[in-house]
Amino acid sequence: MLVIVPAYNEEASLKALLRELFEIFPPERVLVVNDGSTDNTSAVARGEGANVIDLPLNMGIGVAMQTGYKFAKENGCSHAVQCDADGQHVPSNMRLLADEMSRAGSDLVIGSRFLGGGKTGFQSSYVRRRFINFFSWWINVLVGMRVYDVTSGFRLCNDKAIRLFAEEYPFDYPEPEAIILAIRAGLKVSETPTAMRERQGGVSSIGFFSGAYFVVKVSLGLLIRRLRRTN
Amino acid sequence: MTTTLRIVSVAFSSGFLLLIFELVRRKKLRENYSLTWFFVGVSVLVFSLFADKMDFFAKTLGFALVSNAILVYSIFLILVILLGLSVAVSRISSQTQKLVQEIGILKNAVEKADKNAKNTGK
Repeated sequence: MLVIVPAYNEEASLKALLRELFEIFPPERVLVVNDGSTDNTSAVARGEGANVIDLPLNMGIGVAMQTGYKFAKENGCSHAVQCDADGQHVPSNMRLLADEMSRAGSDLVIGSRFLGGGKTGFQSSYVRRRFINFFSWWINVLVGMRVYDVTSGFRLCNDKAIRLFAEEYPFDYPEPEAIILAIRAGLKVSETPTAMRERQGGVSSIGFFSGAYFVVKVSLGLLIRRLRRTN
Repeated sequence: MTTTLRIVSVAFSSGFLLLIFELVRRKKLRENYSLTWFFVGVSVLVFSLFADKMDFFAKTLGFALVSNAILVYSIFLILVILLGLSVAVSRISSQTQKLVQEIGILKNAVEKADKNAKNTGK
C-alpha cells in the first residue's frame, strides 16, 4: 500500500495532513511528490519524515501523480491511494475506499462528495459543481457509465490500475480523463461516498481565467480518449 | 508582378536563404529543422525569378496577380512548418516529462541508499 500526495506549494496544509496520515500508515508508505514547489513543501514533508520525491521542474499535477504511480509500480505496491495535499480529503475515509474495492471487486475506486454520506461534507462552489456535473454527463454519454464526482482527487487503485497509470496518465486537470482512460482499458471503476472538507490552506490550482481552458481541454480530451483504440 | 517587386522579392528570399545557411553553419539551427525553411526560401526565390512564366498558372487558379499566388503559397507552407513545430514541441514535452520523473525517482532511491549506507557504517 502506498499513499501518493502530489504537492505544489502546499506548505500551509501539508503538515496537518501528513500527521493525520501517519496515524494510519508508516511514514515510508506516504509518498509526497513535490512538483517543483517554490516554497518549503519539500522541507516540511521531509521534516515530518515522509517519503519525498522532488521533481526538478514544475510539471503539473498529472506528471506529479504519474511519478507516484511509476514509483508504486517499480516498488511492486499492490495498492495506491491518491490524496490531495490541500487537506480536503479525510485520511480515515481511505477505509471506505478499500471496503468498496473489496465489495465491488473494482480496480479503481473514486471517493465521491456527491453520494450518500459524502453530501454532508463540503460541496464546493455552485459554478464548480456545474462543471463537474457537465463532465459527469459527458463521460456518461461517451462510455455509458455514470460517475458523479469526476474531479475527485481521492482514489484507490489496485495493481492493475497502477500499471495502467504508470504507463499513461493525462496531464493538466487529469482526474476526469483518468476515469475514461481506466474504463476504456477495461478496468472496473466504482464510486463510494467520502466526506470532503474545505481546503485547509494554500490556493486552488484552478483560477477563474483558466476555467475556460479547463472546460475545453477536458471535454476534448475525454472525446479523444473515447475515440482512441484500446489494445 | 512589377520589376521593382521582383527585385525586392529576389533580394529578400536570397537574404533569407543566406540567413538559414549561416544559422545551420553556426549550429544554431539543426539540419532537420532547416530543410523546410530552405524549401520556402528556394521556392519563393524561383517563383520571383520566373514570375512572368507563372502568369498562366496563377490566372488558372484564380489569382489576379502572381504576387498573390506566391503569398498564399508561402502562408500555406508556413502553416505546415508551424504545425510541424507544434508536433516537435509535443515530442520534446513528453521526453522532458519522462526525464523529470526518472530523475525524481532516482534521486529518491539514491537518498535512501545513502541513508542505509550511513546507518550500516556506524
